[in-house]
Amino acid sequence: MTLLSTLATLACVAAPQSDPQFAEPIRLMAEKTPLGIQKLYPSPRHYDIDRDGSRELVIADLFGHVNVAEKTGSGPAAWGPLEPFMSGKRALKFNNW
Amino acid sequence: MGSQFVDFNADGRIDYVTATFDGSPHVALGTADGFAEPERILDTSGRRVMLDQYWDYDAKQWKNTGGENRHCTSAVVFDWDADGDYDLLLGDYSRGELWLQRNEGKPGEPAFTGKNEPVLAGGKPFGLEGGMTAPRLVDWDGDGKMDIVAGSYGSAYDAEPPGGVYWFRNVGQKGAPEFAAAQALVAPTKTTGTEADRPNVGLYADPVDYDGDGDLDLVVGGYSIWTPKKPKLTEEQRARLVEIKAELGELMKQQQGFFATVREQTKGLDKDEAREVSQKLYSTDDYRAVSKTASALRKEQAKLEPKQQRKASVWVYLRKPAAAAPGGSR
Repeated sequence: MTLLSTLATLACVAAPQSDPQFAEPIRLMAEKTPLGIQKLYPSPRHYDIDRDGSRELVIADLFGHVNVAEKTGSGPAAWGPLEPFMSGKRALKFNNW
Repeated sequence: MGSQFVDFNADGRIDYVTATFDGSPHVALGTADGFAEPERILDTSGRRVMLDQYWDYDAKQWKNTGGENRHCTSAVVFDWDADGDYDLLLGDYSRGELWLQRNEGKPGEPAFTGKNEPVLAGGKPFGLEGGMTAPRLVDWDGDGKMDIVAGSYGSAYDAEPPGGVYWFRNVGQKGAPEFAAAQALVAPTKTTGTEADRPNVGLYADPVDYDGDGDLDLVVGGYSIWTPKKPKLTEEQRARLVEIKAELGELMKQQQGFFATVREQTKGLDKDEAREVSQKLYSTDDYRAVSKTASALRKEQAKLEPKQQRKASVWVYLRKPAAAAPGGSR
């Protein structure tokens, strides 16, 4: 994949939105548990990290852990439980102090 | 720690670029079944890319190269000068600054210069009030140029100032980006609510079409800070509250005694030895019993006398459909 083609992965291709208005925020939940509640400074990405054709919720944290939840149920809030992202047989973890 | 998925080494696989609190950017290269073990991104002289402050893993202490305490905790790659390879943008968590480190190599063979240049917004160096969580690259206004959307921490505990999410419009040209001053997408909100209804501090944002309706929404991680409404107490509950506070006072004295013992027994030990000794002391039945009782009492107290809460979670801000223009089609 060339640099030019990978630029598409950097950009979100969507309609222009110079002055957007947002609805009230919706908290994402795994049943009754808010996603990321146990994480230190959860940092989300809505991205197909496991390349299965559908986007997961990828949540990294201050410690360098990477966790992932699959979309389940209906409605924008419903997600499956947050699990460590496994790369092969190991959980992906970035070095931290 | 933000997350960027991009083909960093130009091998056709998506890699995972980030920076952690250790002060440096890292990359986990894409493999057939996921990602390889993360590695640090180095400059041409083999040094870790960084701003000033960093964690020295060998010396097991914080060090500072520049004396300015700039601390890189976020990073994205971006072909800043449109020369075909990825340069680095480094986010400074405390001052909210953004720094550019150029790549003078070529795709797959990066040569980062080791020199950081301040990135400007509105003609001044980036300075996101409350510090920067992580920048994200996105063509927010659909003009074909990459903008920056970044969140701010705000004050972590007392919540003033709160954090927000900001858009920095790219008003420059290809190969010479220039960013306008910040515009708030999620304005900082006061933390005087009685329930967790939005993130207030530590806002990490992902601009993405979450609901597939063709416009960009915001997925935002962060902490909500709120104080539940106080219940009206019966006479009996008020009396119980007095008892709880007295019992907690005694337990805290016992805990202070444990802490003093730990300080005494770990004095002069290195970090690993001190951790081992303190873990042993905190594993004793006596300490655990005190902690367990105190925890149960605090939970009971919180129901009678709610205090400020601070909990992390992830939220989505769905974009409202644009209002129809007057006289528009029917």
